[in-house]
Parts: sequence; C-alpha cells; structure tokens
Amino acid sequence: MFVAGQTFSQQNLKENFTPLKSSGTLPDIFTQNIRNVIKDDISDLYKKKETDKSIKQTYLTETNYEIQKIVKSGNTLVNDEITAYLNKLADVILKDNQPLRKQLHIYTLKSPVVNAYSYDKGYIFIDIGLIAQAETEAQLAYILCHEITHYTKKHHINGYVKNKKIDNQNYTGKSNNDIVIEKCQYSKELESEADLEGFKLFEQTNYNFKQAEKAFDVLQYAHLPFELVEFKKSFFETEYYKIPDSYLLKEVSSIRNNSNEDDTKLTHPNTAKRKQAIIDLTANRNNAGKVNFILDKAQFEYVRDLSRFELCRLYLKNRDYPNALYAAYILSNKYPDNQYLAEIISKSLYGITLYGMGKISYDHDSHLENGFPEYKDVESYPQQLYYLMNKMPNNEWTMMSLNYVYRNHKKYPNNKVLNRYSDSLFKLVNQVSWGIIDFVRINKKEQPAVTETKKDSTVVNDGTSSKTDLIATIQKENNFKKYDTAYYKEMYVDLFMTDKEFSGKFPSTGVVDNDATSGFSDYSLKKGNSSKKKKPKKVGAFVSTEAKVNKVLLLEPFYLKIDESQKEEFSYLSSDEKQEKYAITVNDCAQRQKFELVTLDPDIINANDVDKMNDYAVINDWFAEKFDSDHSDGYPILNTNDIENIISKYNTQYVFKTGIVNYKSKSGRKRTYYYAFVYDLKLNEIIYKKQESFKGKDSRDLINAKVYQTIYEFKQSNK
Amino acid sequence: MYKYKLILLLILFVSGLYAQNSGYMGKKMIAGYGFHMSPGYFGTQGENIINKIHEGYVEYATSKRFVLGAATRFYKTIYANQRNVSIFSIYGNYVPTQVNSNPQGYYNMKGTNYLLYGKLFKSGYVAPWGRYFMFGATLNTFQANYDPSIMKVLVREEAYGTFGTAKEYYYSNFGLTHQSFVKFDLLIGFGRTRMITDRVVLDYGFNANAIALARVLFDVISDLDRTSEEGLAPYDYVAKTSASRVRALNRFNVFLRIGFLLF
Repeated sequence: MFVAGQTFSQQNLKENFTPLKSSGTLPDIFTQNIRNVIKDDISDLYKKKETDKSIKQTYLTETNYEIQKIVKSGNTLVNDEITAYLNKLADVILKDNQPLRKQLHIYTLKSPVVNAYSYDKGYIFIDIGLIAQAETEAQLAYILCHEITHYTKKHHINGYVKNKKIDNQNYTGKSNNDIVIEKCQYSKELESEADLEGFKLFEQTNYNFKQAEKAFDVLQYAHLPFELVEFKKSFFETEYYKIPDSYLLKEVSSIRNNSNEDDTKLTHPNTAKRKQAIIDLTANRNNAGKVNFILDKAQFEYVRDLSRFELCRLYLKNRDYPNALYAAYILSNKYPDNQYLAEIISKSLYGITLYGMGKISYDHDSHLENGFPEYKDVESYPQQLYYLMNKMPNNEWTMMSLNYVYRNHKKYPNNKVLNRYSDSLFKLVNQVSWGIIDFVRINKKEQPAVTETKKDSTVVNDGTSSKTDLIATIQKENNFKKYDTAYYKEMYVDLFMTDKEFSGKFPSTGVVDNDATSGFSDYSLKKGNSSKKKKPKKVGAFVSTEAKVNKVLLLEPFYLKIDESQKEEFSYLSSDEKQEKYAITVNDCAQRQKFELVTLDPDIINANDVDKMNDYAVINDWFAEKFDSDHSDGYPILNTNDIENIISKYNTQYVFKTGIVNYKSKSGRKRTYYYAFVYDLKLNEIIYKKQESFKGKDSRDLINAKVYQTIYEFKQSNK
Repeated sequence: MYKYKLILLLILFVSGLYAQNSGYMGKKMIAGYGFHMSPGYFGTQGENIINKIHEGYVEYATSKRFVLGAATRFYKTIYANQRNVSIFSIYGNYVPTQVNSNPQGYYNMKGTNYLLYGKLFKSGYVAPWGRYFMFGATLNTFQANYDPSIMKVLVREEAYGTFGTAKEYYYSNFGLTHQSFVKFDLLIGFGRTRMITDRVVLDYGFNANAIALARVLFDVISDLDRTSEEGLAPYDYVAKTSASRVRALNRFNVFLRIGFLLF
C-alpha cells in the first residue's frame, strides 16, 4: 500500500490482523518541551492585537496540555496505514491550499467512539470508531472538511473564551440550566458554521455532495454496530451441537429514529437539522460527475476494515464483550479464516462466561456500569446476541464457548492465545459443576443410579480407569437408542471419541472446584506450598510475600500541583517541571541502589523512540482494561496479546507506577500525597501498594526519602 | 574503650543486617551538633535567663521507623543561691542563734549528660527523615564548686548579759568546694528532621526529662517560698540546690541540631 509518500505492506486480513502501531519518526508534538511551547504561544499571543488575552493565555496552557495528553496517551497513531490514509485524504481536499495543508496535523485515535476533534493549533484527531462506521471515502472527506473549518475559524479558542465569559458573567437571575443552554447555543452556532463552511470546502473537491448528507446518517446511527447483520446461532453450531430455537429471537426490534431530538442542551444541532441544512445547500447544485471515491475504493475499504479489526480490540479493552463479539462476528463473515477474529470471539465468549459467573463487574466510569444491556434495550440484529446471552444458562454458555474455542484451537494449533483460552475454559467447566458424565448418552430408564451419583467422583471413577476408559465404558453400557434428549449431550461426542487432548483435559467429575481461580490457566496464582516451611516476612508495602522484584518498568512518573487559592487551580507548568524532575529522582534512587529500572515515559522520548511509545500503549491498554472494574484484582486481562512480548523485551513482568500530588487548600493548608504501586503483568495483580499523605509541602527530602525507601523495599524483596 | 567500640560496631552491623530500611538516600549514620535552650528564671542571675546546652550526638537508623542515638550534652551554669540555708550557732556565752537565710553570691556548675535514646518515627516517614517521638535514658553528671569568699552567710550572734556585744561573722562551709553528682532521668521528646542537600540533617523539636518534669512544682515552690521554708543544712545545700538546678536546666528544652549523614 502506498499512501502519502509512505510504503506499508498490506496486512493479509484473510489470515490474521496485527493491531495497529505507530512507526517511523515521531513528530515534534511527541518530543517537544511543552513548557517551552506554552511560553512561545503566550509570547506570540501578547505580540498580537488580540482581545481577552488573559482567558486566551489560560486556554493556551490548558489546550497544549490537553493535546499533549492525547498524543502521549499511547492511543494516538503515527505513521500507520490509517493515519497515512487520512492525511492523503486531507491532501486531496486541500490540493489547492498548500499553506493550510501544511498547518494541519492529522492523527488517528485508538478509540471506539464515533467522533473527531479539532484544536486551535491544527491538530485533528479522528477516532477509529468513526472510520469503522464510514461508508465512503467522501463521507470521511466531508467530516475532515468539517474539522478543518473548526480550525480555520478558530472555533476551539472562540468557544473556550465564550464559555469562560458565560462563567464569569453575573449569574443573578440565571439558573445553571440557563448557563448550560447559553453555552450549548453558542456551540451549536459554531457547529453549524463548521457544517456549512466545511461543505464549501468539500464542494471544491470532486466528491459526491450526497455523501455529506449521508455522513449525518452515519452519525445518527453511530450507536449501532458498523454493519447490521443477522446473528445466526449456526455460527456456534456443529454437526453434533444444535442450539435450540427457543434461544433464538426471530423478530428483532426496529431502529429508533431520534434524529429530531431536542438539542437545547446539546453542543451540536440534532442530526435532522444538520442534514437538512446540507440538503438546502445542495438543492440547486449540480452533482453530476461527482464521485464517492477519489483515492481508491479498495484502499478505503481496506483502511476501514483495519479500523473495524482494531475496534474489536478496543471493545475488548473496555470489557464490552458483546460488542466485541458482534463486531468480530460481522467481520468473520468476510474473513472466515482470520485467526485474530477467532481470538476476539474466543476472548469475548470467555469474558461473557466470567460475567455470567459474577466474576466481572464494571466501575462507575464505565458505560457498562449497570452491566450488559437487556436485549429489550438493544436495537436490531445485535438484539439476537443479547437474547442468546440472556436465555442460555451460564453453564450451557460455558460449554458452547469451550466448543467454539477448542475447535478453533485445533484449527490453529500454533495459536497460543486460543490454546490458553481453551485451557482456561476447561478450568471454568469445573466451576459450572459439569463433567464428562454430563456429555454421554445415558439410558435414563436403565441407568437411573448413574444420574443420581454422577456428582460423586468416587462412585463414577474409582481411580482404576482413566477418563477416556470411563467414557468408553459408559458408552458401551448404553444402547444408544434411548438417551437423554438434552440438546447439548452430543456436542463433544466427536472430540471425546477422537481427540485425546480434549478428553484428557475435560474434567471427569463435575465437582465444583472452588480453587479453580479465574480459570485463566497461564495467569492463575501459584498456590503456596503447604509444607511447614517458615513463611517469608512481608517486605515493606508488598502485598504478598512471594514477589521478588529485581527489575521494574517505570511507567510515566506523575506529578501534580493543585493550588485552590489560585485562579488556575492546576499548576500545569509547575507540575510538568516537577514531573520531569521526579522522573530523574526515581532513576537516581534506583541508580544509587544499583537497582535495575527502565523508564517508559512518553515525556522523555526522542523522535526515534516509536517502539517505546508502542510499548507504552500496550501497557496502557493493560491498565485501561484492568481498571475498568471496581474489583479488578485477579481479573484476567483478555485483550493484550502483546503483554508477553513486553515482559520478554524488558525482561521483567513488573510495572512501577508512582506519583506525587501536592495540594494547597484555599486557606493555605498544604498536603502532599505519595503513591507507589507495582503491578505484576503476568499474575495480573497489584503486588506492591503504598499510598501515604503528609502535612506540608512537597519538599525534596520527602520525595527523596519515599522514593528511595520504595526502591529499597524492591531490593529487599529479593533477599 | 576498645571493647566498647567493638560492641557499638557489632550493634550497628547487626541492626543494619536485619533492617528493612534504607536510611535517607542510603545513609543511616548521622553525627552532629545540637543546641538546646530553655527559659531559666529560677536559680539564675538576672542576666542569665536562658539555659543553654550544647550537644554532640551520633545516631543510626536501625529500621524503617527507628533510630538509635547516643549523645553527650554539656553545659555550664551557676546557682544563684535562691534557697535558704539554716545555720544554728552556739558559741561561748553568746545566745544560740538560728540563721535562716540564703547565702550570698552563687556557685558554679558544669554538667555532662550521657544519653542513650531511640527515635520512633511516625508511620509513613523513613528514619532518619521525618517526624518522631524520642525516648530514652539520661545520666546527668554534674560538678558544683563554690568559692567560700563569694558564697557565704552572715551570722550575727548576741552575747548574754548587758555589756556583751554582738558578734558577726560569715559562714561559708558548705562542704567540699568541689562536689560531683550523678542523677538519672528519663528522656522524652518530639521532633522533626529535614534534609538539606541530601547531606545535612536539620533536626528540631523539644525534649524533656520526665522525672524532672514530674518534680516541677516542688522545685519551683522551693525556690520561690523562702519565708516558710526550713533552710537546708549547710552540708546539704550544694547537693540539693545543684540537683534542683540541673533538673530545671534539663526539664524542658527546645532544640535545634545540625547533623551530617555519614554513611
């Protein structure tokens, strides 16, 4: 693939997908010193004849930090296929306006949200979720035109100034509601201008006008999956396993149209109004010869597929397993032999199983705070999946998942992820109190005793015969004519008879194993030796006595200064400066103690450190998934395949996160908070936890003493 | 002396071996100088109203929250003979005389306190940095010496009969002119250490001698109430008043210490 002067070897999506990563040289925004940037911007501001300089100065500080936060979050893609494509699209749009083109910096944001963002300094971010939903290249082009207009019309800074003025005005006689409406009204004006002026830019190209209208349809139905495809239960069925029709929702609900919703308190006009404005504008214009694709349709579809593949992973990161499963299901219709999709579906099935067993919950920030939606609240075909999840008992879901995952493990025997998930599901089978005995055909009339005693392993298996022998014996004893009619009875029959690995791994007894932890085989905790060995002493703030930390990966040390007595509560510049020094302090303390510490900090990177950024993104994904729950300890991380590469690359499974927060109240009281956590990426848990607060300022001796002691305790854990 | 050095080194080695503590940036041993002071209203001359004590100390952080310390404190002071001495004189045909008065002048004192103490740091702090509670024992040794020509009591004795004259003389025998004493007390205190440039330790707070503190009322009343007090016997005068003065000196002090992190 050749895009925007860069060459990428196209991924073979028929077989697999490699999650998107940045490459090449990192742009300036990644490496520049943010404090200098802000100083320069403010200096430029005061050289110009501008109004509201004080508000704009605050804006420049806050926005620069916001952009930096986005860029260095690990979610911003640089020099990848999608970003390159978006830039090529911008080249097409602005082919006659090179000065403006040069001012723009367009990046892809790894986010499932259907949105795009434009900042005052020409930075435009397009979410993966939006690209996955786009139907044509022209629609994407129009959305880019909209965002470019936000930039050229300085909407971001104007909106900020206006909002600040509204905040600062006399509130007498105004309710909060009035203030929100006033702010939204101005925002809507800016959005309408971006729609219309963006269209003027759009019409200078050869793109089909109608696609601008259609872009609003995409926006309208953004809450639905990128395609609506009937969810067929046959996807999980085999020759020996047929899911009953009672689990199938035959008629799905219609799609609600709320395009004309009340937008009084919305920042954007409703989509009906926006669409109508474009229809009015294009009514008398000649659309002849206009096209949906200027670059290349195949190229667009490839980029969109990349986004859709990535989207599956982003859903998993948010523990949104039903959406991940449905998205992967849609893609698997086009790419039936894609291993990555088999992985996504396996992980989703496993996640839904854990959810059904009450092993996964969501925190207050998650859109799934109240759990997976009821099927009645879901629209169109995805309702079928939610219906299946709702109707199928958890033990049957576990068995269906194992059936799918194990068969895919056999299909792709070298795929470690599938192997791991199939093993994990075998473990979960123990927790749903089913065993081999439940999957053999039994004559109820002749063998009532077997049914009654099947939970007792000593009766079923006296230890003299193997599990496979046991199956063979039971099969032989039954006449194959009168047998239990439960639909799942034969789901594994071929595997039991021909696959030694399967029958060897399948639990024979069906006795609930409460020690089966999360079922995640590779990442389950090692049980302590029960012998009378003297228990090792717990070192410092270590949670367990077993951890031996000999090297850590220091992840972006954090420093924040809050001063409530100041107009600007968050001291960005001072925090940034302190953060830089704090990273040096941590490294210095490690060096003094000859402790191995590798820093992975997007604030301390150079243009060639793209690999570090990618590694940082992988670990950040791990954290995002881990902390999407109120009770995240012990939950398996289902999303990150790359985490093992990180462990082996840096030769440590321990990630060290530390930070300082210095707080000054309005009355001048100071308090300093220190925290240090070490996470075990392999065991998926926190192994070191220190959170302390001190009266007084963030003095150097406080920081030095705490950091040094923390690293000392790491060292002590090895003794 | 070699034996004691060896024991000290052994203690440091063993405590270091088992310590779950890093010290401050790896350094656990501090040596330094301290200055203690307290108001000295009683038993002092007017111009000498601040008690001053100088101190040399060494400390070693044995664990994350504990520091073991040894210190020697030095001071020089006077006792301004606030309390009365009781002198009973029977001489020839003179009327037996009971003198109950405080001696003129003062006597000099110098003391050396030997302290062994621990500092228990508040949770969250890392010894030797942070807020702490101090406790320990102190052996207060001191010497008093007086000059009979300065410290004396005027005794006036009347003769029997009508023609006899009064006789006046100075009494200045308060026992040995050089006297040494040893007292034991318990040390308590609170303080905070701060580090400057990762090497200098600034230690400030207050400390007290617990027994001296418990006797505060008794000592003050004795010093103030001269009229009703039965005077001290001359041979007891220095012993008792110097002990009282030493207690006053060590009772409660604010301090500022400057130390250096050695290793």
